[in-house]
Amino acid sequence: MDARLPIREGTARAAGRAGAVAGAFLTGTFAVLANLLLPAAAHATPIPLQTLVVSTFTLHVDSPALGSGDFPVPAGALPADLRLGVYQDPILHLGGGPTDVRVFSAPGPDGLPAPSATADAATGTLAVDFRSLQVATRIDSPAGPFLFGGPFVPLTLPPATDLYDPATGAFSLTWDATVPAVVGIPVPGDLRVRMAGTAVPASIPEPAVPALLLAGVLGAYAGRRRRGIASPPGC
Amino acid sequence: MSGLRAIRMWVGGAALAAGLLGAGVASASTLPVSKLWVTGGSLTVAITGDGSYSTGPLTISPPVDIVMGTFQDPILSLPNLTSSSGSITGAKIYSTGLYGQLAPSGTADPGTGALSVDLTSVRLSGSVTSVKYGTFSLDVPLFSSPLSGTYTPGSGAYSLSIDQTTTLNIAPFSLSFHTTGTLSGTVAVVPLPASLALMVPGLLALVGVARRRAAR
Repeated sequence: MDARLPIREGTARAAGRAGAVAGAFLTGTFAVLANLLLPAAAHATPIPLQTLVVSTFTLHVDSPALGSGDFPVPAGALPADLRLGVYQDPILHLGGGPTDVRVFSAPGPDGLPAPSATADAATGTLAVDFRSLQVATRIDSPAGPFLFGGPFVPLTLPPATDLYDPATGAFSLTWDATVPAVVGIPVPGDLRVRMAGTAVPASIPEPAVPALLLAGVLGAYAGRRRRGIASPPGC
Repeated sequence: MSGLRAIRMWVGGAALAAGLLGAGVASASTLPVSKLWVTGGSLTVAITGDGSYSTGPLTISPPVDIVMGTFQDPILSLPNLTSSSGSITGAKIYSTGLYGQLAPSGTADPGTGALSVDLTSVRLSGSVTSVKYGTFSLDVPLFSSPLSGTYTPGSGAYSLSIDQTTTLNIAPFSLSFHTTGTLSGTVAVVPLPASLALMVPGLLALVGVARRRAAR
């Protein structure tokens, strides 16, 4: 009995070691794969943005009643921060002379959500919800000011041409829309809005990041255990 | 006695002259308007140009009072309108001193029947909600300059015709607002304080002349 015991113990130890090595190998492989695959998945997930730093803004108008041209942007108005996830007043002033067009975001009577945007690094595109962008237009005259207000863009924003460079954060956003009121003035017109600048990602960590960190730590731990089992002390 | 007579004569003459001149001045001067009762008429505010916007005729109903010298909010609340594409809500005509305009005022000339009313502080505001595009608001002056019309001194009946254009420069764009329509009703005028002052010398003159004749 006693002579067989060492053999049985040795077999059990060998089997245990083999199982541990296999387990560690599988764990390590899984962790490595997770570290390889999850970052790719994270990149494919749209990144929420915190701010769009707008350094270029053009608003081209074609209106039978108003005429055609670009709405002037006052000197010093840019760069302007378009904060996302919150309502902001003002964001930007357009116009000049007796005309002031204040662009801001507000829920309005329809309870619209605050502006939001996400960047997709994989496709290099942006997705925005700017339905709560509003304008308040004041045109001074000797008879008193003419005041207008309304949505800056239609409630259903038409498809935008947007670009995002994940390496630099540079973005550009362009959309065309036919509206019944140009900057709130009740005359119909075609708008072409273009804004460009730098997109600042939200500072809040993505939910995927802790998972990636945990998988990485597990992978490192499993790798150490595997090395430790493969070359036990005294062997 | 002769000195007293001379003084009385001079006083009477001066009073008579003042009475006559004052009456002449009174007929040439205008009386301030205290209130406009607007019992009829309509207004249309339009933006000129292709694809223009127009409020359509805004009927002044029910009749409204425009009290001179004070700001009123509202002067008239317009009925809400709803259609399948949207609605017009909260539209009103009101006057405000918020933008530096003076309170409504007016003058009436009993001699010529001319009426001039300054309603440049009167504005139109309201909201237009489009199902597709959202809610737009508008708050614009109705009259860019004083209105001119006629009135009948006896009955106070008046009529004001409105045809005013305000061109706004929104470089590189321009925009013209056109207000047209009529207002009619009754106007109330205030007797000038000067009328009382003129009546007193006239009465003095009559007394002076009577006493002068009695003395002779």
